[in-house]
Amino acid sequence: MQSELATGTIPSQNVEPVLVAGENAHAGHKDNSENKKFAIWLFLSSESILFSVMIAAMLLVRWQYPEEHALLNIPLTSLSSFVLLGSSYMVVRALAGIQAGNRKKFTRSLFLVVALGIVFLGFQVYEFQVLAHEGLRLNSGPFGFAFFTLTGFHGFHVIIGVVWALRVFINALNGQFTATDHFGVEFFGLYWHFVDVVWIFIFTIIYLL
Amino acid sequence: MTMQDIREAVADIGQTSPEEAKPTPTQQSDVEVGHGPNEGIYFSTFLLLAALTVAEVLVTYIPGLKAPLLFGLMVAKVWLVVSFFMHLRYDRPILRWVFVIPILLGVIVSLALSPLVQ
Repeated sequence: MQSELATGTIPSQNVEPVLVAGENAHAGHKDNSENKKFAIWLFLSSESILFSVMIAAMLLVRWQYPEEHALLNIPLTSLSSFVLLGSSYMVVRALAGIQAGNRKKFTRSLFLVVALGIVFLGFQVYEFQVLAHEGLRLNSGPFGFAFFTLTGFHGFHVIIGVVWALRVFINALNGQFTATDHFGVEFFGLYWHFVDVVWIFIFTIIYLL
Repeated sequence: MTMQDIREAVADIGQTSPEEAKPTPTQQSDVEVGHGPNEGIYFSTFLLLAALTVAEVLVTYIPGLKAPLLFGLMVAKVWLVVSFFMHLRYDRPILRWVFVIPILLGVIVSLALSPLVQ
């Protein structure tokens, strides 16, 4: 026995394996997905700080320039809010679709996310054009600078989101993602909902308040 | 210690008692993440968000209570999106802090800058 202990050799009969290969792989995959989710939340956290500071800067000039604030188009941005909320709903509908194995619902919902994202951007471009026509520009003063920096930066995030959604949509058409493997959709969803959350803040604090 | 004892000890590695086999709260939340809310909850959340947005626009016509009502409605909308659409309600608690702390920092920055407003 002492010789067995000394050499570290233990007979393997009646010894069950602690982890089989499949379990090990599954555990690693799950841990990896949880790490990825934590990473994207950290990314969104850093984005929150960036937008918070921009909103704070906008609040600084918001009360000093009531004439410029009166130019903002509330009915149009209200419609934009519904469009973005609708797109967020389509993202979770797509997620529910792929989780249930319903590919038709999944791809249709993703298509609508792309379409609604483009509609939102169209509204924003139109709003910027009207404001520019009325004299409010990026270089027209503190209000214009703060407003266009904030809303433009948000619009830039929507552009990234639309491109990302298009990529996810094309991958979905190519047969990627399954009921058990759809992390890509979930991560895109987190980003898109974050963009929606930022718009909720902007719409209320900058436009309505 | 005999060789039989060593064999039994090695065989016990990886075996869990019934109590240990029960998922911890964290493990339970991980399981729930995969399922999350059902589509009925998603649709109800969307309808509620749309209703709150309409309420926000209507509230702007109430001069005295406009600001507090708008902030309340905004917080409710953010909570709905983050809890149900982003599944934070079903995720690990640490992710809630990762989201909430930067927002609190933003509020502190806003309050710190507020004396500059003339």
